[in-house]
Amino acid sequence: MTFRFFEDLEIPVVAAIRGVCLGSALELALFCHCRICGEGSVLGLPEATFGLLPGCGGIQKLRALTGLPRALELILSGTTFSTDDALRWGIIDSIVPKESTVGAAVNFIRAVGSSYQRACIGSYIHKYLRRDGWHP
Amino acid sequence: MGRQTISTFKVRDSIAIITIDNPPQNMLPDPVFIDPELIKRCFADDKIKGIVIAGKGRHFSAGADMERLRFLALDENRFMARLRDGKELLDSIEALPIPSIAAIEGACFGGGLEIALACHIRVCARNAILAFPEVNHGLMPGMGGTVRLPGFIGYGKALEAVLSGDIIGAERALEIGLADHLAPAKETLDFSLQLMKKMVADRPIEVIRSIVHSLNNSRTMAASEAMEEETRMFCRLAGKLNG
Repeated sequence: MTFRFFEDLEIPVVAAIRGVCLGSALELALFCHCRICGEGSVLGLPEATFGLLPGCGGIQKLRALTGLPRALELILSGTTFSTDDALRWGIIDSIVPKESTVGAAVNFIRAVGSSYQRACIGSYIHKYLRRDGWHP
Repeated sequence: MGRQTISTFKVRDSIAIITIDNPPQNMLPDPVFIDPELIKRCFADDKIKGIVIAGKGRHFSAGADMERLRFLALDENRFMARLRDGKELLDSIEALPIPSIAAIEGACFGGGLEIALACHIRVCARNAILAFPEVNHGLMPGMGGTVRLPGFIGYGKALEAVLSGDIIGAERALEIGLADHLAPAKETLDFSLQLMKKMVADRPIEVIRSIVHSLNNSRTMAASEAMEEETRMFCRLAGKLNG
């Protein structure tokens, strides 16, 4: 099973990120339909700094979210970045107070679930939340 | 050496610096602005970890020389061949397995902007101005500009830029994603070299090539294919960690 499993689910998958979210952990979050970050979280793909690369699809996902120039810079330099930058660059979808990160994610899913019939949640996700950009 | 062009090529601290050198505005008399053999070298030379393209003096490049273009266009077949060579050159720059940065000061018009769009990253001086003015001469970008531009700024803004021919300032360029960084005037080359060093200085060449290759794959392959290739490259690098 790969991270794509989560992306392909036809129910909303939200990453509730708090604290550090580095390497494969960020890759996993990138495969979720949406990323909600607690204030002060730190994100990054530092693989290149120890002679590797993000190998679970993170390169392709980051590129789809933020474009090739920024993805190249972040992955090659391996530097960590803040939630403010991540939001500005389109890598995450919202920032919430740290202690309510999981609550915000649950609320988001409830909102999606209640405003749409269950049957159309799948297409909702694929239409609005999966921002692949691979096949524009 | 290979063919004579208007650009110079030198390697400093493992970074190749291409300077478009046709002052004052670094106009491009020919679509092939640099010897393609030098770009080919960058695919294979382990000592070259990145490329920075800049213009000599105050401008990046004001694009094609209209007088010269009129002259070249008299012979349609020959002109087509020249343009095709120019396009191939930009395609090969775009496909490089090492990062490329365009360091843009002053004017970056037409063919100049097409060169900048073939690079991975664009650093603009605060006084930089960018445009595709071809439409004012009854022309259009001829070396991939209309194809590459929407990838960076979206279809709507690209249409507006190419059809209006309007000049885009550095701040606006940053806002819409045409530029990736702003630097103080006269400092874009230094800024770009610093940025390049931050990306490549401590990285082995195989790591750089694998990452850039994988990112380039995302433009040419289906996502699933690109991800499989990415995992293969990861395993190859991981295998080297112990040896």
